[in-house]
Amino acid sequence: MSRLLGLYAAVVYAFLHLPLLVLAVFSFNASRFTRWEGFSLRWFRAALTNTQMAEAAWNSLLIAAVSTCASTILGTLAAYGLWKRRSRLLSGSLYLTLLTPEIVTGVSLLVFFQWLFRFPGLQLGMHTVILAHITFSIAYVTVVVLARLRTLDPSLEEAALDLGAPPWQAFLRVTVPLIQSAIAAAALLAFTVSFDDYVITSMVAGVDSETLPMVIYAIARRGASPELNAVSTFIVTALGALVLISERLRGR
Amino acid sequence: MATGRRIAVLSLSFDRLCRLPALLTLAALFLAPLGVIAVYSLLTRGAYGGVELPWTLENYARLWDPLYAAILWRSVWIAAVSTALCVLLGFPLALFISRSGPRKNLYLLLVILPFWSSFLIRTYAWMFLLRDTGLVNTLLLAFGWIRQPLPLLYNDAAVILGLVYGFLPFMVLPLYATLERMDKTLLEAAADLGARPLDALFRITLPLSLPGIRAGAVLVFIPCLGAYLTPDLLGGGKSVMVGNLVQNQFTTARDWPFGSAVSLTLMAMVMLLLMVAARSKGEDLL
Amino acid sequence: MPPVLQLVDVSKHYPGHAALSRVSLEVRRGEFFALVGPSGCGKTTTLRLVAGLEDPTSGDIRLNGRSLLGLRPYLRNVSTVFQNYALFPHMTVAENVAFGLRYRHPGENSARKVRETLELVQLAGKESRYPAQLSGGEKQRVALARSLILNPELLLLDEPLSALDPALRKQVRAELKALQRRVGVTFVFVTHDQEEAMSVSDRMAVLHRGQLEQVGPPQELYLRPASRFVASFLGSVNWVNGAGVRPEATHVSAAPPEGREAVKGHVERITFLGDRLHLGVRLASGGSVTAQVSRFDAGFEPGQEVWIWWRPEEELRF
Repeated sequence: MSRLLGLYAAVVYAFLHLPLLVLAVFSFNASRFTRWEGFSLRWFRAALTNTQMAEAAWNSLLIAAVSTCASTILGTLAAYGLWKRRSRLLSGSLYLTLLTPEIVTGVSLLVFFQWLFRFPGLQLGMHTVILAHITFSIAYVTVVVLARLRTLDPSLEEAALDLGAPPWQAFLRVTVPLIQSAIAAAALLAFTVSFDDYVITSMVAGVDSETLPMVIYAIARRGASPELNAVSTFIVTALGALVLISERLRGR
Repeated sequence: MATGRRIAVLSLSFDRLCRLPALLTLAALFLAPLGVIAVYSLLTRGAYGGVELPWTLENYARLWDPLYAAILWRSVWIAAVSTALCVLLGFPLALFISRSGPRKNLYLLLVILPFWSSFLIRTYAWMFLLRDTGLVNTLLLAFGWIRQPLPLLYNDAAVILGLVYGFLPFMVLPLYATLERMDKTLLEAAADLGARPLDALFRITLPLSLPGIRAGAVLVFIPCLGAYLTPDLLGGGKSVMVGNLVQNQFTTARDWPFGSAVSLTLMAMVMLLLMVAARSKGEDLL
Repeated sequence: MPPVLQLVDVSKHYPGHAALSRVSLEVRRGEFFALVGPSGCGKTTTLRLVAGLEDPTSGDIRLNGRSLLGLRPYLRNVSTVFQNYALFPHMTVAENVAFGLRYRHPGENSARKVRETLELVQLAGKESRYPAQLSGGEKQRVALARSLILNPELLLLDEPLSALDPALRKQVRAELKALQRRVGVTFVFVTHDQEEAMSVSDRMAVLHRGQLEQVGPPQELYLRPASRFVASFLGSVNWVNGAGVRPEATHVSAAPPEGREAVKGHVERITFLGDRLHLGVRLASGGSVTAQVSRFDAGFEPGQEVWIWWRPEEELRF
């Protein structure tokens, strides 16, 4: 039976990986059609010189960087707080952000911001996207950091308290150094999730805050494009590398 | 010493201080917005978009309209089929990984990696493959197996394919966790008592995996139910699910109250499912 | 001068379970005090209450006469050596030992103090090692140094020997006792091993199901136990006709002894323990006793008819 199982697994792994591999292969295709006509880097060059994509990529990086910083701090503190004492309110809210369909989160934030902005006359823009990203990223950070915290020996913090350290010092001098690789892994995960988000971002982005997923979506909607293949290959490789590093850090 | 004595009334202990920022953020940016659409769902559509009085239950009543009911029903049906396929496809894979010995982590990584790389691009990849001028049709035409390109895209089947492709890892991981935790000596005992490997699989492994299957099914069904991107890109306008309906109401149709009602109905379905699933307790993530 | 530690009517209740019930005791300055009892008796709870890691449900805990109630653990001049030592794995030995200095004695020359304290526990030269590179005994000494460097009024030790190899325990026990003598700090030592407690302590307390059974020097508790529980916890007891006699006080003769009351029985079982023998004797009146016999007084055979007797002053009655 194990031979059959192995064969089956190979088929499923092919199913999981072939689409992206095919995309990657064709991003090096000299022709813009689905016929292989030779190896070429023209689409990568085209993608790099596409100003709309470049601006969108820059926006995505900025948004991801800011929201990752904020959500990592908020999420780590939340994980620590939950490790010390359960809070059904906080746990429940975090679960809800993970399970609520993205479109619902997106429209509710759109409605909320529009309602809020009537008074000071603000608009949707980078700031609203960043706020939205922070909101849905916190839970990812908390899950990763809390999992690591649960493997820690609670008597370490007790010893720190016993030796005279106030709780915030025990946290900073003893707990944080012991979970730093988990925090890093969580941050990378939050970055990945933020960079790739389309649904929520599209609802709360303003005119000047187009992100790379939004550009990709627009092109994909119109039909395929070889530049898109190139961009896709690049992004998948980059994000895949981040996830790889994140998993390594989690394992430590 | 006055300092350091616990203040019984309102203790702002350090751990509470740690929970507070996230809680406030979520209250303001997640719970409050949900509250706003809950309120909007009971109002009437404004003349220029937006909302206005009077209060009404009209929006919820409209969900019984055959057009919208069909959308709800299709969403449930597609999510159910996708979930079932994920179970069928995912269980043997999880089994394989749990029995693969020293390479377990590698095989797990091969499942996790595509999942986290980019959902949007992974969905686009299927567009690239299944379009009329996509790779599949091109190859089939080239081999002469078909005369005209097959309409592989823009139907329910394509959406189901995309959903299964997208959420299979969500099924495999909890299943793997359950299988890992299972007592291996049970299988040894079964073999000792004369059961063949296939017998043991159906009579021992499968029944004991049911909690994991339930957990995975919930984790897959919920995002499938509320899917937006997959039916949008792979289904075109032909396979409208609840998520597309919601998005449509807030953009093109500009009917925020109705869109809010649909959103809350979707939320209600998700919550119902969670309550049913909460009976089978697994490990708590949070 | 008030005693270093006073527990006044201390109780600790958890939902559905009373860990401590109205325990009162005193620990005197410079003592090596032991808290003994079977697992679940409340001894670790007591330690945690004194350290401030938990609060009592009722009662008072006083350090040098001043109440510790409500005082956070990091403000109490009491230090704990945890059962698993709780050394900070990401810090070197020196960093571990110096950890609490900045809170109690800011600004002092910490490197010198660390060196001196490590010399005190015989770990000089290991400053830059990490806990993972140390043996069990070495880890314990680092934990001791980490606490002692802060000059606590009271040092609490939670089962410090149970994580060590049995072979090592006796030696470490003696070292701990010597250390305490040298340093002069009051030690409160928790253990479930009565032999350990009796061998090191100046005074000890026996706890049972959250209640204090008896306090006093080890000899007093062993020779004049206040209850059946203390008697059978601190050693073995034979119960004959409502009186208790310890095996080493239970004498066995092949012939009825002159001028003494004796009980008849026969040898059921002989257990060889190296330096002594345990004779299991079935009494004619039913019931059985275990008599301890030096191996030089051997010569008994299974089934042999014997007489059991003991000195009246060895009798334990409750």
